[in-house]
Amino acid sequence: MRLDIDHIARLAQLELTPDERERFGSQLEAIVGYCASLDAYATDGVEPTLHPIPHATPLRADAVGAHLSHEAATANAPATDEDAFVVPRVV
Amino acid sequence: MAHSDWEAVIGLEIHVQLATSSKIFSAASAGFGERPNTSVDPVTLGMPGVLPVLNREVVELAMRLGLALGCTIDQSSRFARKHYFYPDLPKGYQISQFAAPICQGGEVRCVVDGEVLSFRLNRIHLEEDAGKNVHDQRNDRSLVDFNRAGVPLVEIVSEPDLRSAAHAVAYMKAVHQVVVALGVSDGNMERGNFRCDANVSVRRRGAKAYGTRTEVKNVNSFRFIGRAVTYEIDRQIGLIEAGGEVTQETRGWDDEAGITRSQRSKEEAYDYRYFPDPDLLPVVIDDAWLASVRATLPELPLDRWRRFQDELGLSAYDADVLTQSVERANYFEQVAKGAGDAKLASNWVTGELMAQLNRDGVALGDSPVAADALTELLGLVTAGTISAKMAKTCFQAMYHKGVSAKDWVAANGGQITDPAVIAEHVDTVIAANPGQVVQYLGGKEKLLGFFVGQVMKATRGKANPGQVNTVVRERLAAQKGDS
Amino acid sequence: MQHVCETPLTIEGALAAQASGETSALELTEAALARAEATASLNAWALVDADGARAQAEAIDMRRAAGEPLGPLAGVPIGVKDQICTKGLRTTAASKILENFVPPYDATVVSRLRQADAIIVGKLNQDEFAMGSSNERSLFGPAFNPHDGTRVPGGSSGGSAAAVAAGSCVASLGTDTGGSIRQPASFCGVVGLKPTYGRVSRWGAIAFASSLDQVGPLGRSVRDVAAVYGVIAGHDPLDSTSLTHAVEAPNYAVDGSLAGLRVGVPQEYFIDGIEPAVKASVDAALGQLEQLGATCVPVSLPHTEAAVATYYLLATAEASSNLSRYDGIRYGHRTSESVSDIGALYAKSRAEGFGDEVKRRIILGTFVLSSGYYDAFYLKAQKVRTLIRRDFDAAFADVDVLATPTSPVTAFKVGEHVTDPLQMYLMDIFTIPSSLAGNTSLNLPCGVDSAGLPIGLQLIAPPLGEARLLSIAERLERKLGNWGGR
Repeated sequence: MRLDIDHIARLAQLELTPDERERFGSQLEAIVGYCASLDAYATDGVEPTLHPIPHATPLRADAVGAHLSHEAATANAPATDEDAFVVPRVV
Repeated sequence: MAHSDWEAVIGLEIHVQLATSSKIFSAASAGFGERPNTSVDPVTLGMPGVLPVLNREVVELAMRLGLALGCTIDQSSRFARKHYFYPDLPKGYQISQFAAPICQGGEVRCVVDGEVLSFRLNRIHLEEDAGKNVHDQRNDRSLVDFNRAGVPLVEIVSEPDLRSAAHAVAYMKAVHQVVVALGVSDGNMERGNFRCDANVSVRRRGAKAYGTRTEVKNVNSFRFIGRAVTYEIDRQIGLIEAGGEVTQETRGWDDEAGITRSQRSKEEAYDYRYFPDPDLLPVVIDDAWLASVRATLPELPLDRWRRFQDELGLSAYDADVLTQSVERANYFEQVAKGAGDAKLASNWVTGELMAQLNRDGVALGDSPVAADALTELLGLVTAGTISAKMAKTCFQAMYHKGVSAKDWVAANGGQITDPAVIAEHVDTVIAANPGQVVQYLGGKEKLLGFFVGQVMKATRGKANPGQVNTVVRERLAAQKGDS
Repeated sequence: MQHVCETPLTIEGALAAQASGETSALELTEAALARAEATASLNAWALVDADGARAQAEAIDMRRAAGEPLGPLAGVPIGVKDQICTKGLRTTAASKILENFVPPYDATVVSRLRQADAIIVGKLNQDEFAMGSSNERSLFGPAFNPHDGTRVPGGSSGGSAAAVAAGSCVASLGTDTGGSIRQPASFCGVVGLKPTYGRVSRWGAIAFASSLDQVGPLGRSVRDVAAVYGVIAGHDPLDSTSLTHAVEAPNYAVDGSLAGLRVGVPQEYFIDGIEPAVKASVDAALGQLEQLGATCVPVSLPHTEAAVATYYLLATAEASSNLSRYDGIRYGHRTSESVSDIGALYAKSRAEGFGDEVKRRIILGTFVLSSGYYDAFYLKAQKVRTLIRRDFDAAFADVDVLATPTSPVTAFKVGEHVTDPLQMYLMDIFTIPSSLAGNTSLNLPCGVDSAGLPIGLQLIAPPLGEARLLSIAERLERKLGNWGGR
């Protein structure tokens, strides 16, 4: 199977070097080929396991709790102004 | 172009912010008016290792809406992740519902030209809102605020059953009325708490297949939706008739220019890679919970609209005006019940009261004349204590000076209904205006109003106008017999 | 060069020595710090918080002197895998993309350790984002095996296993997605427990594959591991997948036999690629179980062969999603190149910030979830996962626990497997199935090969079977006795 590595890299927002493109491309084809071996198992009518332990999602009461201070919220950011996170122009 | 040859196919996706205190998956405040990036916690910011926990109220509000719109409630719905990169989306995915939304099917009924139409719903699903990117003009960059990120939304998705801009406007208004009436949302459009995207395509009348559609984003007012849909229908028809093709794309409505503009085309490929969110388990709703929510549903605006006509005998128009908001309908019903006359109450609420409030830009909730005060006034009218004309004067005093109707009558006197007193006033007026009497008797019968007016003037408006009218006629007729 | 700790200290021992005044929390902490320094060449630590650890120890000693009640891990030096968030203490998941990230919150497991008065010595080395089986793929460089410094400690929780074996902490926390606690425990000759999915909170543990990740303890004895497990396990309202069941304590019957215990031996696990020494050692351990009264019976887990493919499809799909948040906006690495459009900012920041293996898995996972492939790969794998779970359900209808090798091999040389990812993935064949099934399993050292490298026995119990599993392991551990310098 041939993978459209450029399309996938674009979806994943990963810039690949020519070397990575080549290497990942062939490695992934091998891995995907190996994974395609699952076709050998009949799964008609088998429910997928979405979660290892089946139960209902717990529900939280609608109450306001603790917030991060503005300083703590932005402390790890690579670029901020006084109030906000800064990115190249998008709007 | 001949529009009659074409049919528009429209589907609407409406995002409604749910009226909760905290966010959908964390305890950060859902009220986000403050300084940017303060209504945030580690979950809101999508920090490493954080996990979502669902807000119960979010589920309940969606159930309310779904039940009210006749949807099937999925008692085991699921959350999925929808992937795309955008600076205001903290995790690189939005937690939404995909394969198993909380509500499926249902319908939105609305009134178009006095006729009730029903539009099928596809689904209503839960999701989290994104933050907000703001353009910083001066520095040619964007600033990101996550206060809004994680605020709970329902997305209400219609089937492509709408066929005109008028349908779109009516549908959007109906949905707005319902979410507000149910207390599901404040419906504040200026704050972006009620937002609409329209999918529009056109096809030759009679054609079965759908045309290529465009998605017009963020048409966030009733006026915009009408204009944007109309524009888009015309644009597409024009394009096809000129031999062109409609491109599947996202377009934005520019209200100033009155046009839609291409925003991005599907070639850029949005492959959202939905998959069930492993951090959240199925949202299980048991029968008891469903029943308890069902039991607390209020009457829907459209049902009320029908009842006002069927039981109270109002016109479709008046019933429509009165059911535009729950507050207005409640006010009206209180007055109608107290005064024992629905039509009178309707006339007063849609007429005198609303005219005055609109003139002053005052909300009904802040009206100086409360429902019980207006009820008292109308009671005096139906009892004949004051005339309709006096009631208007009295209303002005109530509205501007805050006096009660009873106090006003006590100070100004009630209506004169004593036949002897009225006859005395009529006789005085006839005696004082011999010239007009001659003209009247000579056939100028419209002078009747003159005599009635003089009597009303003499009694400073307090004489019962009906009685005055009758007595004036009688007395003038008697004069005719005499001569 | 060997760095295995010669004078092992147990949690019980540490608590008793403090209670008698023989030692103090500060002395224990200083000993751990000194040991970390002496074994620095193992590169087990991503960050040693010497000042912080001393301050915690002093506070505990003062509270003890004041007669205050202390928690069940008072004064016990513990290391935490760098995958797990520690408030105010840099947490990187061994990735350049989180190089300078300082969490403003503690993972639930960390706050529970703090409440238990444990001393958090620092952060432990690992494979980047827990993706790897050798601890060779780390921002901090490879960690090394204390039994042989030219060999890997296993992974991804390599630092967690190496530090415990080397004695620079008494116990540690690791995370296990497909074997990342059990396999390094096996390679380093320590005990490591992967709890039942949902038993230990994932809040604050940086996500790799959310439907598989579990935090668990590593220690030099079953009792130590059980003591840490007792502190970190239990319901957490911050994790929607957290189980509400009460946490049961293991029962260490002093002379208890294992009479009546049925031990299943999955035939599919004794395959060709297994090293003879590993097979011999595991067989011997099975013999010891029988001597204790247990009955070993062959069982079949017919879908074992499907497990690795299933795992790599599901884990990479979830990983590609979980790692989308690293975009260089709110935290983490941002490219220093001047970029004017947001797409370039993402693509370059992520390209610079993620290592080779992480990129490979993001790409595989993105592919698995992409339009047109979802049903064939992701959904298919979810269904095969059901078949694998059913294998275990069927087996546990007949036996109480399963016994298998933890890894087909002992610790390999650094650099030996780095180039072939698929070969590396296949080495997790014995640990992956129970991760997919969501049950609990542990590694118990059961011998050494001719080079003195540790061999591990994996014991697997049904979901929520931790107390039973730990009790059985403890009994077997006593029977196996001291071996290989442990």
